[in-house]
Amino acid sequence: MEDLSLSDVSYSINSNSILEKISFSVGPGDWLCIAGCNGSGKSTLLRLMAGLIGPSHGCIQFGGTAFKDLPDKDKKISILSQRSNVNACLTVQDLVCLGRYPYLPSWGVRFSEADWEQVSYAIDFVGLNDLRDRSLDSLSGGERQRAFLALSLAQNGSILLLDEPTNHLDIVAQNQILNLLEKMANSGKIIVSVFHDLNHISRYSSHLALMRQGQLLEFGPTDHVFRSQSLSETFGLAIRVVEHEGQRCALY
Amino acid sequence: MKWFLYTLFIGWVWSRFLELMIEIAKDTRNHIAGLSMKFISFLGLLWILVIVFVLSLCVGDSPIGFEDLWDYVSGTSSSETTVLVIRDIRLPRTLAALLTGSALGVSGAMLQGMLRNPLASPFLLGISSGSGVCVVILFSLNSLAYWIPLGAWLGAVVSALIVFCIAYDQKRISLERLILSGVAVSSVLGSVQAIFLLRSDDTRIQNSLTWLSGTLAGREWGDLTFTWIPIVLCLLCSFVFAKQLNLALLDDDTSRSLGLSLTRLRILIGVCATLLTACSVCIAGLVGFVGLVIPHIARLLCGGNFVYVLPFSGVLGALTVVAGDLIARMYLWELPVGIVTALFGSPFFIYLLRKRRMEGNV
Repeated sequence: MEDLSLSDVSYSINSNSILEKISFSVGPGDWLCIAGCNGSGKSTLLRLMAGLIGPSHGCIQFGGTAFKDLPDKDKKISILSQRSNVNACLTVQDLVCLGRYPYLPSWGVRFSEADWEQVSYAIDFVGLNDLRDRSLDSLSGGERQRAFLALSLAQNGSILLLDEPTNHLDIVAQNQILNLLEKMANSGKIIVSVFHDLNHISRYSSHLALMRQGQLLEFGPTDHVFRSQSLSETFGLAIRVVEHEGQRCALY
Repeated sequence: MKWFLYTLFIGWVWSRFLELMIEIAKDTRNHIAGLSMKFISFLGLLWILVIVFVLSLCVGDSPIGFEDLWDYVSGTSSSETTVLVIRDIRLPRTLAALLTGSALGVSGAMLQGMLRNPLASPFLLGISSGSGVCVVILFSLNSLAYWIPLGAWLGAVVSALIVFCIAYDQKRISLERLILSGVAVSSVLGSVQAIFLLRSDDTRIQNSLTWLSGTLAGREWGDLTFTWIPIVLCLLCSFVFAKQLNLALLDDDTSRSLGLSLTRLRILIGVCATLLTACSVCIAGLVGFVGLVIPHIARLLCGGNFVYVLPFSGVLGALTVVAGDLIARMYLWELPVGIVTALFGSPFFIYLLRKRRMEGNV
């Protein structure tokens, strides 16, 4: 089983502790949501899991191999950050093709049949087939975000890390993105995402990690962790979890 | 008057051609006989470059007919003057224009991609001021002309090196620091240059200003001996970076997760672009406009993908400088090529931008 596991992971900058002794493990098909106030270390944790920064202490492993020894990391882990952006007038297809770059030989720029198939599959999956030749500048926020999701999908990694992927989107676009992510999790990928909307967390995630001031307060299946007391403690607010037609909702 | 009308006519034909190509390139699904439109546009540009190149060999103080040129190429030329003019004057000068233009176009495109800044140009990293100050000092010291290209090259490389050293911190190069240190170093060197210019006499000031505007007058084989190899090598290398430059269009985290090492890319592009610019400065002085605007025109033609932007920028840059030099030679007193490219290129670029804005694409 290719699990993503963190054991005693800490991260500090100039002796300033950002994350302290974080440990948990998620497996294929799991969708882990990380929740907490701004500045609680969620994005740093995601960047650590993406291998963009190294932990000060502890170890992050994927499939039993430590990250620093992991071959082809760029083919296994995708990240869609809060600031995902492209500084040029690329078409949707050009953007999604970037996801296949780790598979190209170092000197080559020509894609194989398999690369093109994966690109077409990714564009189809997010429903942008009619817009594949359109410039990104001409797309709506939701379509743009779906194009970036297709880029991650084209990369065909086992782990997808997302930092607030539904930011600034209307509820229709939010639903589209969340349903796509659910399909991706069902296909056996590990999804780790940061969300601020607690109702998204209860509706979609399988696991929940609650963070406060760089510490992991609670981790476990969402059904166990998504409780009034844990959420109130995490956010320092009176949060009540109620059940409505079989769905748990947070009121605050 | 005759030449002026020719110039206007060439300008008009050129603008219609580019406009047509933009229209064609916009439709990416458009193919003719299995060839993509981008490829056909590129071949079209290459073809025009060949025509302008041939014209550049024929036009000048002593006009040479196409037949004379053909005789020279086939080695059956009987006129010694023709051979002399083509071999020793026109050919090296046109090749110098070709190398300068392609070097500036490609290094501009690379730097705009690497710095993620549409206003970046090869002269942003202190290269122009570094070589400018060295050349002005050499002119004011009344040094041998032989040292001027070498001085320009050294000044460009050293100032770019200083800018990169300032921006390098904790094993990474921040783009903001790179751009701002480029501006700061340029300001300091610009002031030193101004001091030397103010202290010089009129002839030296005129010589310096001609060089600072970019000129190809009197270029001969000797000026290309040490510069053509690095330019050709760096141009070839630059096409290897197309893939990395595409990834660098993304934000830092996403591009790194796709396997890009940003610091390595910034250093390699810095070295390649600096060498290209330094060599072009060494040949022709400071030819402005090309490095800044040509990559934008290339992007209007072929989109943002660097696999296309780099070759398009190279060919368009070469075309602009060769055509600019051709126009510069048509008048009674010869204009520096940098002035011609800026004078004719900028209004055309403004026209392209406005046209695109009216169509709602920018």
